Amino acid sequence: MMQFLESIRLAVAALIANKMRGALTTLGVVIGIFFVLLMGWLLTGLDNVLDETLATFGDDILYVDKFNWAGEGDWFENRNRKNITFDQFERVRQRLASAAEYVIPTARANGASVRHGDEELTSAVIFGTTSQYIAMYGGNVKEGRFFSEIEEQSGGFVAVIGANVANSLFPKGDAIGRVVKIQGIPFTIIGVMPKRGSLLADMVDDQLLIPIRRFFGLYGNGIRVVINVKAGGVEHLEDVRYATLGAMREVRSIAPGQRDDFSINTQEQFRKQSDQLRAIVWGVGLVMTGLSLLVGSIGIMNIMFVSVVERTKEIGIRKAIGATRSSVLQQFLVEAILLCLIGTAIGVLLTSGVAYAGAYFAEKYWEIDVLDSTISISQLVLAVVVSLAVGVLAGIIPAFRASRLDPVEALRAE
Amino acid sequence: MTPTPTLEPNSPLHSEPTSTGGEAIIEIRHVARRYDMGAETIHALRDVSLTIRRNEYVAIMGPSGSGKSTLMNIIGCLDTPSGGDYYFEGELVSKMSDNELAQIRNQQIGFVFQTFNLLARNDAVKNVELPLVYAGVSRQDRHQRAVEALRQVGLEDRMTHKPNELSGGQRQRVAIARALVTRPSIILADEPTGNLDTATGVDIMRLFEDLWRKGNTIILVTHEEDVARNAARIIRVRDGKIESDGPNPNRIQMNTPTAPTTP
Ligand SMILES: Nc1ncnc2c1ncn2[C@@H]1O[C@H](COP(=O)(O)OP(=O)(O)OP(=O)(O)O)[C@@H](O)[C@H]1O
Ligand SMILES: [Mg+2]
Repeated sequence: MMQFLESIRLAVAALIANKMRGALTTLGVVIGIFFVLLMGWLLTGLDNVLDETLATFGDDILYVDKFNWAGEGDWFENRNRKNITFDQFERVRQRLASAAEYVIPTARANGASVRHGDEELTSAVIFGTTSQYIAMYGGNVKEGRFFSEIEEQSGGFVAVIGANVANSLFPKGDAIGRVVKIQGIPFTIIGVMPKRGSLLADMVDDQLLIPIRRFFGLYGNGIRVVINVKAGGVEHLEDVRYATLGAMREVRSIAPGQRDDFSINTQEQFRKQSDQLRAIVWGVGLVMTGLSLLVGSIGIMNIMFVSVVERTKEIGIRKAIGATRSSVLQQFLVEAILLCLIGTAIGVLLTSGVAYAGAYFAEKYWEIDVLDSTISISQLVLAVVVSLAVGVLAGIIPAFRASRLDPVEALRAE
Repeated sequence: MTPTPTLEPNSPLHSEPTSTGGEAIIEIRHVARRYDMGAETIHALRDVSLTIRRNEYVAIMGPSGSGKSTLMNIIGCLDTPSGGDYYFEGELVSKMSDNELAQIRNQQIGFVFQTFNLLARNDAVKNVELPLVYAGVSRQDRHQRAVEALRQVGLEDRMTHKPNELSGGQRQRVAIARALVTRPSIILADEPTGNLDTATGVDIMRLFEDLWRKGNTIILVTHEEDVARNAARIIRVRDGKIESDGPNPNRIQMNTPTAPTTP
């Protein structure tokens, strides 16, 4: 123990004596640790995105669509399936009335023209649904109100707008009561939705929600409908899925033995997609980290070899007055590890800065609030463990060589 | 040689050591040291046998390249013989592990070199403390004992000086303090005065004389007759062989066993 403390003291002294060289040597480690932490930070952000996205979609909601949302199966084949119609929705709803908590239709049209005065939005999404939509998501409007069942039945010209739409058209926050023209037809804004999505689910904030009957009035009855089935608890999800499957096959007149011509989508499919993204980030991150740590450890190994050669005489002196092989080994190993830890500390500081600035600017300019502004403890622990390992790997051979020096030979060195 | 009662080193009773010393602590039997230099083999030592007893004062002399340093390194357990046997305090050195050898160098032997071999980055106290680090002595005790050893060699006012801030004689005294600090019974000195002027050399020799009187065993290598004259026994080496070995007929006693004051 005593010798160990002494080793640390020696290592610090040796490093101070060679500040510049040490700083350059640790560069590889700095970069390596920077990548490790950056990767961890991004993955944490990705997890947050995933969580938010899943929250947006709900964990007990089935989305019945002709498309498979996870991109499984043949896309062209799926595209050629017949659209689910509003009529089919009605019949499915009747069949699921007791099994599910909510069964509601949604239909969407992208790239609609939305005007207010001279302002025009081109990226808006017109979203037709029923009055139950807001209740199904367990949410509330931010301002105003959602459209009522009567407005829905009568196909009223009313709209509830998403947060991004409100920000773009009414930055002063005076949207309620204003009139926007959708495809040239005036709609009165009766409500504004709170900001719900980020990154993956950003599109929900670009929506203008209107009664679905009015939607068909604008775009025609042939538009593809998605049936949202809320199970009313994850524990009922499988039962409801089974019931939905039966109802859909019946309504779509699929004979036994024939394949479904629709997909029942869940948030699980998003999880699969994001897992792929995770794997890519991990893969790239690991390769970069591995490479830079490899370079870093070779640098440290090199400098340790140089250090051993330069201090051959010192090693000889130490051995002559009683240093054992293990204490010489320890001395140089501690020095290599210390170099790595210094590199790690710099890497941590660097990443912390990037994380802080990244989170700040992402929030400020892109309204992305999923990035943490700090590095988590577990990642710090990981970084320290990695750098200890690199230090030992890089230091062990030079340290071993130092410990094996013949004292008489070493004393002769100049 | 008649057996004499053994005395502990540093015994206050020990005022005038006998030239024959106590029990045998260094026994070298037919030791050879060869260096293989590819085509030729250099015989630095060939068939050397000698015995050194506790509290002897031995000078090893001989021309340059005769094998004195090689012999000292073997005695000091820094080097190992290519042939023959070396018993240190009755134990065969070739059978000892590296750690045991390190411990002997640390505890039993104090080595003083011609070129001092101090660590340039450390001040005098830190240099003297060094053997105690490897002996596992606590930080506080280390400092205290180093200060004590430096006082013993008359350097109490140069403790925080780095080697390059000290004169040659002062450096050698730091080196001697370092050799003494673990209280070894044997002091090995390879040309300790070789890099010093005559007056400073005399100061250093007084220190050795003093240590010998206190019960230490002193073995020193020199090629200066003046230096060797202080020893009680002279071993002459030539071409890796012992030429002569016997009591010093011209021994001069140094009668000032106190620390010197010359800077
Ligand atoms: N590492 C070595 N490799 C080859 N030969 C060596 C080595 N060390 C010593 N020798 C040879 O061994 C012989 C004895 O060397 P040693 O250093 O013991 O001499 P010395 O008596 O101490 O001489 P000096 O008075 O010059 O210090 C010399 O011929 C020397 O060249
Ligand atoms: Mg020599």
